[in-house]
Amino acid sequence: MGAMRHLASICSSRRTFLALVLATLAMPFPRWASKWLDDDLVIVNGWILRRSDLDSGH
Amino acid sequence: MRAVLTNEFSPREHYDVCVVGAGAAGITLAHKLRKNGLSVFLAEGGSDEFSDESQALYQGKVLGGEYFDLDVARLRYFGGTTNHWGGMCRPLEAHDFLPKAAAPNSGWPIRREDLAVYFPEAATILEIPEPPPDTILNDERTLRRVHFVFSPPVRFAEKFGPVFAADDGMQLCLNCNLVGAEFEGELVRKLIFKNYHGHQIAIAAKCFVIACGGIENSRLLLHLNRTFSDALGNQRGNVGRYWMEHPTHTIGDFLICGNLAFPDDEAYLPLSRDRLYLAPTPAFLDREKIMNCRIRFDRVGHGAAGQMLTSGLCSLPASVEQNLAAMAGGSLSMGWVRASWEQEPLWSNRVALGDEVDAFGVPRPVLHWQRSEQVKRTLQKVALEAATYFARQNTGRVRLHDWVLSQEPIFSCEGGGHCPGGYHHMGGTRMADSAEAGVTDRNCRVFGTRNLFVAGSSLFPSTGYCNPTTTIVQLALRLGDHLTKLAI
Repeated sequence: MGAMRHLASICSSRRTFLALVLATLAMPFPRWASKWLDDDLVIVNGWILRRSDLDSGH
Repeated sequence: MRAVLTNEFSPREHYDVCVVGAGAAGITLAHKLRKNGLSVFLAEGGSDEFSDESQALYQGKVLGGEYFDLDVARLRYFGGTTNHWGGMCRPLEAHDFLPKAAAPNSGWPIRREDLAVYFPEAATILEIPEPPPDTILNDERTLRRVHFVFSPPVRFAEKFGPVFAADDGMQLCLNCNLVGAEFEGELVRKLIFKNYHGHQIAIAAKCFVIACGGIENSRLLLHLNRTFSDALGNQRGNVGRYWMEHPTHTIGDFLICGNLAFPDDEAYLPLSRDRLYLAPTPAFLDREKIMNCRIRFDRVGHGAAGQMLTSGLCSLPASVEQNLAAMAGGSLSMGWVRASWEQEPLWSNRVALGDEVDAFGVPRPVLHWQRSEQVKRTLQKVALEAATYFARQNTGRVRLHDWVLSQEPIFSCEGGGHCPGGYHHMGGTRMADSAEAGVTDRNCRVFGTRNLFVAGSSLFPSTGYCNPTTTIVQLALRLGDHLTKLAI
């Protein structure tokens, strides 16, 4: 939860995908923080996202 | 007629049926029996209104997993828990009656059709329409959209109290607490009741029905069995066993295009704008070897949505939200994802008698309740299927809480809402085809007896995910017809 609060403080000021990536690299997320379910779907911080969601963030 | 158990009260010498407990099951059954022309004694332990004295009789212990205090999970006065229920209704599904590969002790001795014939009558009592049909959502045929219907909710005491009071063939008796029985040769001759001042009466009838709720039915049968050497359905130690709840948790958040209504929803608006229920298909349950489950999407207003924006939602890449908003013409719904699901019947989950006794000398209940690895696996499989559905359709995104995705057997109530159960007490006097497997036969008769019956959710051998009241009422109506055949 501490990690989530820290992440919230980061992305509430700069809601960019770059901030999310930096936070992901910096914070000790659980091991399922980034897990591919198949070729298209991935779990990032609990969100079930599509590959294109990650691409469009850059 | 309506009476309070006092020194002056004088019951008839004999009734056709004595029903113990005046909640959803007992009131429905008593009403049905009267419609069929039988004389009925209906015993209610509480009074017309809530009282601490009566409610204290519901106190007990819980061992195992986190659960509600037993005296706050139900109400002990005329009308029972229908005095505060929410009114959510849906009959059990056909699949719920069948044995499941995921649970060796699951399955009913009757089928959905056996109860479906009583749905119109149950719907009149509960004042509900028939639920709209399910809709298969995806090509893989793994998910369904399902519907609940809502009772006003009917308060049974208000609806049937005046009817009973004006009926000479009905004797409703308040403050009338079951404490013992006279039993010989497989026949219950009399049930013994006491009021709060120690005054005692014995009621004679052709048939007796215990309809005191999903914990008390087991507790009272266990208590009576101490006197009668386990002859009342407990020859195999089954009384109290296979107790079940609907584990209920907030499991995540969502962001979905538009409101939650589907294009064909006009008939169900406005409710479907704010709530959406998804459930796995039977084929998915069988393939994954899991139990039944429903996932509810609760749309929230801006205040609560604001909280989510600063906690969970902000971890969603901003571009995703922008893309979804663009597709939906700027209209997005957000809210909480909640789950309520079926746990498999386990011998170890049970109502037992404790060492402490209540004011009538009846041992208080000890509830042993654990959630197994199967309970976690069911949630995880169905939650992920629902979450991936929105991503694949590109109509929304779902975030699941860490504990849901964890492989560890952990559950959390941190998300708030109704948790960790639905106040749905089921099992304990399960219906079965033999005394080896249950406590009552398919007609709710207690094994080892010829005229003792059970009504209520304690009969459920397995539960599905549907709120139990509709099924309780259907079962009581069916029992009413069965008792009528026996008593006439």
